[in-house]
Amino acid sequence: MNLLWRDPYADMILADGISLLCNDIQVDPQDIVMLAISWHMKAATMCEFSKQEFVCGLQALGIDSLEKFCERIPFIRSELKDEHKFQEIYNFAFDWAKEKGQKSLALDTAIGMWQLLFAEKEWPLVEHWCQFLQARHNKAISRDTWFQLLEFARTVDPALTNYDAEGAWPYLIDEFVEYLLENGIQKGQLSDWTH
Amino acid sequence: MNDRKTIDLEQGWDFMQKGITKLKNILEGLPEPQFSSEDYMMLYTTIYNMCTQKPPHDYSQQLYDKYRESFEEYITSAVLPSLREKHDEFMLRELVKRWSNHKVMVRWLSRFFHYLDRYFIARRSLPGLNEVGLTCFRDLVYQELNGKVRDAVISLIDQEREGEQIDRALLKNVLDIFVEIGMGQMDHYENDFEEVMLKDTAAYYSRKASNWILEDSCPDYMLKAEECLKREKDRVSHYLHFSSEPKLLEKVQHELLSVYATQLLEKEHSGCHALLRDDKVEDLSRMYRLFWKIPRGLDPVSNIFKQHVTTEGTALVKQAEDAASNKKADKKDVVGLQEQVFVRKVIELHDKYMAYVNDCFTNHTLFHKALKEAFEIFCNKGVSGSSSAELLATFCDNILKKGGSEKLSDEAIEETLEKVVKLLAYISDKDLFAEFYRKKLARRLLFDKSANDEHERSILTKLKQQCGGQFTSKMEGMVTDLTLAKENQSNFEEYLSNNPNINPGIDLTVTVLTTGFWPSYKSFDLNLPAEMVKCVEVFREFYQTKTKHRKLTWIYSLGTCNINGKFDQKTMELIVTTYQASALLLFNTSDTLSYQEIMTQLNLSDDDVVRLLHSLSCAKYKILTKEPNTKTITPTDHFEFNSKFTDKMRRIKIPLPPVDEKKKVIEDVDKDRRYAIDASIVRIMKSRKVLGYQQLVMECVEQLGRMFKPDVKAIKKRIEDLITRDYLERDKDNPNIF
Repeated sequence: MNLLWRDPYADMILADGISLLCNDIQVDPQDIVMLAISWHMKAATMCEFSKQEFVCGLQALGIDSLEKFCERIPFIRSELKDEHKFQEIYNFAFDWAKEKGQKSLALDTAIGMWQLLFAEKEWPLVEHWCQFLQARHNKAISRDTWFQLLEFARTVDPALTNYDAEGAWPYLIDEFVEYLLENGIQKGQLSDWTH
Repeated sequence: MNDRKTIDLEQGWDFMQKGITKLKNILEGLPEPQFSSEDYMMLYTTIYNMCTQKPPHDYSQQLYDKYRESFEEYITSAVLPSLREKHDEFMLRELVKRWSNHKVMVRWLSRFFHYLDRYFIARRSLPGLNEVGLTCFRDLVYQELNGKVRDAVISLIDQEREGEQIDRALLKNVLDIFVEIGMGQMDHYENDFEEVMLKDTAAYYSRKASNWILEDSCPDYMLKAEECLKREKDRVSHYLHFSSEPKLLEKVQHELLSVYATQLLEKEHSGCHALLRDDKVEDLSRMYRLFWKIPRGLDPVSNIFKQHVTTEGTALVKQAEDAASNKKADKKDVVGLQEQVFVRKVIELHDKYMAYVNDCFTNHTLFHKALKEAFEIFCNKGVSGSSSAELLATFCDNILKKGGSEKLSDEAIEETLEKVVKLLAYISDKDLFAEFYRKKLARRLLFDKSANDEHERSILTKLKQQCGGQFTSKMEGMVTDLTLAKENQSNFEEYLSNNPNINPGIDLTVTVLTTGFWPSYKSFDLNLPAEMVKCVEVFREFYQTKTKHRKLTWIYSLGTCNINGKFDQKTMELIVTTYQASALLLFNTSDTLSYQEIMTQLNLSDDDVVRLLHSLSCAKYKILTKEPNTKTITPTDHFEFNSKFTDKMRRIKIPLPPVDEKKKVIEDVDKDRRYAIDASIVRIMKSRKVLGYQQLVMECVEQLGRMFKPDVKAIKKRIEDLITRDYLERDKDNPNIF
């Protein structure tokens, strides 16, 4: 089965191969389960799998046939519901989605990823976040911001009642909170600014 | 004679009784001859015998009892009745007399009965004769009367407070009784007298204070308070026991001052605020003296002081702002006269209130702190767009440069510089001041505008003392550079004279500067006229002979040129900048030039060209004529050499106004600050390895505080930047820790 997907010129599965693969396992290429699969394979970059990554990944998943692959899909999908695994997959997504050789993640890609990820694990502020970034920030996203955002989504309640303005949140997240409050989106209690 | 006959108790006592009666009579003032030594001997011996007889005739115990009974009898029969029938002052006098008598009686009787003391009492560890005697008085007289006595005394004290004359000696004697009756302990004095006296005092002053506070102004009230305290102190020294002093004064202070402190200080027209406003130095000194003794008494005073100074300072700022906004719009960016006046006034304000702190408030740290905080508040407010750092730097510039607006004696200059440096302590953006100062210093040094080298060095020394060596190291480098440059120049001239063939034909003076010390200047690639190009080449060669490892970058924008202009009327020497000279020399080869042509040939920016052409054709001296003859330069203008130009002087200077450096300075400082914050964060983390976010920010602010107040947001940004650059990382478990 590998041979069909494999790129003719390199020991890799590239975009075309991936489309074929998705077809075969009956998964939409935009489906988030692809991300989870990539995570299992420890893929370095999105839209490509090296031979090593692919082979080892399949082994780790215990897949040796197309049927087994299809059977495993629901299991992989369920992993996304696990809090801990979700975090790992989320963190993994940053390096996977960014351009090779870049330190930061392009804004458009980041927004796309966030929308995908937070559809899975619901975060009510994701739309506002994306809007805010496009209106006010318009630059690439650093790794620190990426990681901290999940933390923010997980720990800070959407009404912002437990947000600590003097904490070590990245600057961008502080700005986001200000943006929300300015626009009256959340009438949460301001935590004590005058600590 | 030698055979002692046993004395029988009744007999012996009879004999003693006679002696006792005699004593009583003397005390009562009845005519009675004094005791002779024989009398005394007999009485003593009788006791002696009765004590040393063999039992059952040793009557020591009985005699001891009878000794005491004698007192009791006398007191109950004579002393108490006479005291009971008297009142007030008369009673007091009687008491004093009776007490005095009693002491005499005790003294005498105990001498008669002395033998008891030696053996009987000692052996049985009983209270001694003296003690027994005093105890009788205490238990019988004192016990009954001390209340009345106390009240009488207090009443007299209150009378004295109201201004009446009283018999102080009497009171002293009475109070001595209270003390002596304690027989070494103060508890009778304290419990039976002092406690009530203090209560009464408190009540007395409380009444007075509640009246005075309504009627009197603050200074008057304070005068009264001071007077009261003085009188009470006086009272103690005359008749109260010295141990009462602190307690008494504390009560008075409490009732007069502590209770009414706020009302007093905040009295509308005469309270602390008003006194400061009206410069009532004496009253303020009094206020300090009085409130100093009360716990936390000075806190509200120092707060009012701080508020007052802040208000005055802020008013100055507003004044300057108003004056500045009335200026012409085109002069807005230049720090003008008003701002100079402002700095002067701030210095004066500081002097004035420092004097207050030193004199009225005797250098108390609380007031030093209040003054400092007040100045920090308004000194950091800018005036019409110029920060206080800039104003201060400009002020210094005016003092230090030739032809500055301040004409002062050397001493006055030194003094003023000293004060300016002190003011710098209050400004939080010290690094901004340093940058402005450096820029202006550069101008002064390079254009030889410094009035006095000594003063330049002196202020640098003061700045170094105040802000540390790092603050002034670059500036000192600049001053040193000039000295070296002079040396260098003389070497260059020697080189030229040794090689006459390469002499460029023009006198050239070059000042070589060490890049690190001086502010950064943009160097434009000016197209020099051919004559000058040669000079540059020659110097370059010369410099190569000195050092091979240094790179020379020419900053033509700072150069000056003396050129001769051959006008119709006469040839004049023009002192211009290199840029201006380059422009003028173009007219050696062309009669008319357009703006575009000039710009292209010189290879300068629009800004520079406009400025320099303006100075040559639209300012005081019109070396060039402009077509059309308007007041501003436009890119379509044409210029021609004005051969008709003349002036009564042979030599004129054509100034080229400097570019506004303010924006650049602020930019530079911001950049430096970012580096400083980075360096500080890295330094802290290197030594601490792991640190919580809040603490990191705190330490950073502290470290950098000497030069400027870092913005917390800026620090956060730098931290994130450092994370991205992999210098820092968040702790895996706690994102608040690095």
